[in-house]
Amino acid sequence: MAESRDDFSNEIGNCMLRLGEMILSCGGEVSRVEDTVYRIGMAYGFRSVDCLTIMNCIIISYTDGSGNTFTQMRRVLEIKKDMEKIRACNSLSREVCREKLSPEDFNRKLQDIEELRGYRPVAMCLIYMLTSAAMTLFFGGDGADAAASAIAGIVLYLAGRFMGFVRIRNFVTGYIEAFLVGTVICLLIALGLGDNYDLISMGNIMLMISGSGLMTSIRDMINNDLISGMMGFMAAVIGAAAIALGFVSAALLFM
Amino acid sequence: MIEILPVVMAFFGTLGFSMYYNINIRISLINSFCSMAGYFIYVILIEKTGSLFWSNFWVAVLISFFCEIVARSHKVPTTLLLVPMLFPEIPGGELYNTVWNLFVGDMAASSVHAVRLAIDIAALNLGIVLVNTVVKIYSNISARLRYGHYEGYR
Repeated sequence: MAESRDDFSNEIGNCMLRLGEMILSCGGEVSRVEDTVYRIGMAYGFRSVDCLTIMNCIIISYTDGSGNTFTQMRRVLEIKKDMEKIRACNSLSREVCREKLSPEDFNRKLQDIEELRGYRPVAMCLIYMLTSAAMTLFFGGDGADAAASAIAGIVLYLAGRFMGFVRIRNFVTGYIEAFLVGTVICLLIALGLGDNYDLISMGNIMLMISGSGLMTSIRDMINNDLISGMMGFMAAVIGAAAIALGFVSAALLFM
Repeated sequence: MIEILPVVMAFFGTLGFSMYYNINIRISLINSFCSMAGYFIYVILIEKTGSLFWSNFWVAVLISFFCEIVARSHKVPTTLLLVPMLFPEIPGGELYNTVWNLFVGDMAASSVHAVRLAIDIAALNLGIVLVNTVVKIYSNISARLRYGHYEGYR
């Protein structure tokens, strides 16, 4: 009996961790992960639940009703922003707290969320074009600049898909993406489409640069999540450096 | 004189950005309208006060407060609304310009953009954290009165 109770606690712990991992990997805040894990643990009657989350790691430790303590850790290697999954995780967490699902049901619902698909590739490509063109106009570009920005948006989308396919995300890939987009912008300007390299670039950069990451990291720091905040801040600055360097290289080479 | 085109483009930019984050179309449209309204207020404040800090701060306060209300009424995470709604104010451009000028060797321009970036970020985050803290205080007091204990991890 005691063993099956241990199994149950262990299973629920796994589910809590999996849910936390999903929130973090979809771009959720550190405090949301910790709060979700805590609330679910307490809803299942655990005596204590502790959760430490930093930018890419979750550690949970909890003591069940029998006094057994469990500790688990999960490393989150890839963060891909997906707000719809965060919304689904949030709804699931409310449901779990309300109805105390069995581990099997909990896992099944987690699987359903994992299988949620986003917009189709063609729609996503159009979204890149729309955002790039709109932001170029927002920063003061004209119609030709916006058209060039939309075309560069397609290149940005394709480059992002390729980097996702080869599963590499670092300073160099950020640089390559920016260099590619910068080169295409130079080419379009040489062909007579658009005049302002900086305004066209800015439209695309808003999708590349982690302005929101920078904001979230400062908020984490203000909220006393200093480790996550510092890591997020450094990631945003390094990312911005890679992107700026890519655009500068393309402009110096081809303009 | 307020330029209308950037205000309208704030709508389309936010719509694209929301969908880029895989937010469904209904919430994306809510985000876009609010973002446009927020940017309109920001432009008015900049024109009236001339202060980058206070304009960003008050827009952040207004939008955060609105996000908290919508998040609670629709039972969705605040992040889903807050990040896209503040998209036009997020200083991605300043961040880029700071680093760009650093690489091309224009230290003076880089410093100017870095200061603007710091002001933007500080003001936006202070506004967000202020509203968030007030809402948390309210939630804690009401949970304490209703259930006799606090809710949440911290």
